[in-house]
Amino acid sequence: MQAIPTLLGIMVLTFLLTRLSPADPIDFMVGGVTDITAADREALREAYGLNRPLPLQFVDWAWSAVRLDFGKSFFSHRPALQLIGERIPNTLQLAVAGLLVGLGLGVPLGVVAALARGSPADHTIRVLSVVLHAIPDFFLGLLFVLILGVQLRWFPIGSMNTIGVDCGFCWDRIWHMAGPVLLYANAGIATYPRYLRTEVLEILGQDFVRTARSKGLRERIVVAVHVLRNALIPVVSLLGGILTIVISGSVIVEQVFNWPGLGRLLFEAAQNKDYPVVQASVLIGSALLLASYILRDIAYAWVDPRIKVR
Amino acid sequence: MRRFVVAFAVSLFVAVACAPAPAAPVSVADKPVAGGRIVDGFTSDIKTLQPVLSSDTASSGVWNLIYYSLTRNDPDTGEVVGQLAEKYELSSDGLTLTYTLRDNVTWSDGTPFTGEDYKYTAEAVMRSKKTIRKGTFDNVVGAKDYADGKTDGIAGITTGAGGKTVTIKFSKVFCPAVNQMGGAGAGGIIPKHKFTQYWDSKTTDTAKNIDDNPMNMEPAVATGPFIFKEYKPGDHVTLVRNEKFFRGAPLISEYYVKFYADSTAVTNALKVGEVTWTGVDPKDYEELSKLDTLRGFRFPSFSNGYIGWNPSNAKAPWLASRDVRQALWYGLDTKTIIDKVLFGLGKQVYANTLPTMWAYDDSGLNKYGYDVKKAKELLEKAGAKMGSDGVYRWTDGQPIKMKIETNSDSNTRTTILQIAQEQYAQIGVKIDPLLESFPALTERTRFSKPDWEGVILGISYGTDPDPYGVWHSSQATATGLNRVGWNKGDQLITQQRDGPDCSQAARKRIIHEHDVLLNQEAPWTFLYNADNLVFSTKPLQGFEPKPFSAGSLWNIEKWWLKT
Repeated sequence: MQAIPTLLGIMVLTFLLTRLSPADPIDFMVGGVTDITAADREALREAYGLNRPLPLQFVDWAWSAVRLDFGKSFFSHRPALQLIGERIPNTLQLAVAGLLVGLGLGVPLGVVAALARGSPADHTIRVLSVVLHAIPDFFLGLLFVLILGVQLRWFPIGSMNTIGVDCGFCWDRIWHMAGPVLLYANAGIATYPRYLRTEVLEILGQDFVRTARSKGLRERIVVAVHVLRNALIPVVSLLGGILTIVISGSVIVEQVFNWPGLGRLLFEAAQNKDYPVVQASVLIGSALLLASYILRDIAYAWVDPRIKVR
Repeated sequence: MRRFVVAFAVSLFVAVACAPAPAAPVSVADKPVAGGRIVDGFTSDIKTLQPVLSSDTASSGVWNLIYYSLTRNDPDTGEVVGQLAEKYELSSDGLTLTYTLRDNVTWSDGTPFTGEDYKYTAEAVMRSKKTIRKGTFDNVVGAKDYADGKTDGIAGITTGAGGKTVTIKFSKVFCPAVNQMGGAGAGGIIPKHKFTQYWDSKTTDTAKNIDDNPMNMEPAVATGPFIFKEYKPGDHVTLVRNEKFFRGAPLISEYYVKFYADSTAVTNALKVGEVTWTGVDPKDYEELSKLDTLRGFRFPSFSNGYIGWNPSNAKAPWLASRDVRQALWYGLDTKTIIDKVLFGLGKQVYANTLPTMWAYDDSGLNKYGYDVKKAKELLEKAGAKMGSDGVYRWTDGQPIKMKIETNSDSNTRTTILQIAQEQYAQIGVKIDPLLESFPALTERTRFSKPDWEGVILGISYGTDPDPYGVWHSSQATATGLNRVGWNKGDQLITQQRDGPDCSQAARKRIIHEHDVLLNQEAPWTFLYNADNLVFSTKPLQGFEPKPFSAGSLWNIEKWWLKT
């Protein structure tokens, strides 16, 4: 239920920020056209409802938004929801894959670092984690495109498919996803090992682990069943934060890898002052984020049965 | 650990340094062959494929290949010549314009193209609530009445000879009309027989219009060289060849417009051979020129860069002085700017009319060369006196110190601002640079806003040299382009628009007079006319970009790919 006031707050803020930022969307529409009269400009303003007082504009928009009508783009003249609907699957593909790869690499690296404490592998993982954390995502992405894409031609420089290849989830798509997914996963790869290492080391010294070992369980079982499940609790807490990065990071990742997702749509709409698209993108992005927090709470209950979801 | 890092870095360096050069295409055919796909790189997504509603260059870049206009500009001279029309004629009194359409033009579904399509497009513009194009019909008889719902058709646009002629009647002479009317206001003529199902133009009901219908994103037929096939939002548009194109079906079977996030991404795509042709930034020109796989083209653009001076700012009263504005022109080395900022890829300009335009005439224009001494003399002539700190004092005693502002996301303009700051210091004028976002810049430096002194901007022109849109005093409004409030050229500007003599020679003479006035009064320091820079991959044949006629697309039906 707390999600509702949060969303309301986001609606107010988004509306105000779009309206209070400088420049007029009509200027962007008119561009270099010089023979437009003041009356025609005013007619355009009226057609887009921009001549009405701000509170009225907000109430109209909010009431429509509740009914999932976010208005039409000022520039493409198509419903904002339709524009976003076309892009969300593309963004989710990357976000989900990035999350899974982040977990798939970050968690084992953390466990390995803890189990091989003090070894070269431990040092390498810790350095890698710090380095990845320190380098900005856009820079890593640009390096990937320039070195592995333009220079070595090992990976595509961006986009979802090779030109002329139209497939859903095929090898060509996976090949194109490599760069953006790694960039998405970077947050997880950089963060999980440090937390997990500490957590695993602490749990390894606890009584129940000693008991499990003394029962004659194999070390692999001890780590996988007894240690890892307990060590994952802080990782799940982190998951909410990672999801924030994954969703907000779509603007950077999609821009660098030319991925036609929600982030690029939002970026272009913000540049053009396309209010309906910006407002709808931010609101839907926020709703997805809130949904991800709920998912995190459910996952929390799964790894720690002492926690109940109500 | 250190060894590992060093080994990784070395291997990465070796891998990059030894990267294979892209393979050169093998020539096996010198005769044009049909087939193949051309990929054109755009830096933004299209917004609409409805010319009536279009207001962005990406969209027009695509619908220009689908919907043609009655006329176009000659690719070399810019003269208005027939396209879907065979010829046009402006009556001797300048009040009637008649187009005679070609006999062999049909829509891609075989339906004949007629003057009714032209009239329908014009009416769609006048009834649209979301178009920015209505100004084209300001002087057309009956256009306003139709827009207001008083009639069910524009009385001043009639068709004849079985739809083979279109006649437009004007309420007053408008010399640039022949350059502006060919596209029926929209730029491209849309098919009446397809759009009528969504909106019938023969009505007085102004609530109905063409603004919302699915065909605005999915054109059904074409008169241009290509037919719409598919649009993937944010990714691409696919067009296929129009077998019924009146100049002959294009050799290329598919035209693929690919959207990229920015110009760097397009340049990368060109380097790896993903894109067949595209425009590039000056900073990339030299590097791309060295690649064996590419062919570069350079030709003058229709845009320029300038510093506009606000003569009405009470805090900078010196800007009202012509001598000071001239001093600011002499005090800035525009040649260095072109060499350092545009990498030599542009020309110096000294007035509004660009070298590519038919009205260009630089005789009698002062070619302001960089001259610190002359600049100081002019400042002193205007009444300024040098202060002990090396900064001139104006007649009221205040130091000549002012802001020049520009948008922070343009490397070109921010570098110009740095150069201006350094060079103006040499002539005793102190500049405070101000960088801001483009929206904030355009908002702050409107004509109605008093609190700005100098602004670095650029402007793109149409192919007609009419200076009205930038320099007429009617454009000195809160939203007009005449930010500096120039009003000394109104009589000349009106004369070259309203005739009675609309001949090219007469207009050229008047426009030149206006250019001389601008050159002397120096409301702007004109900086440069940048070149258009285009690259294509070597297999693309028949590609000959020229300044006019949509830049590079004038002979698109003859393009072919050498394999």
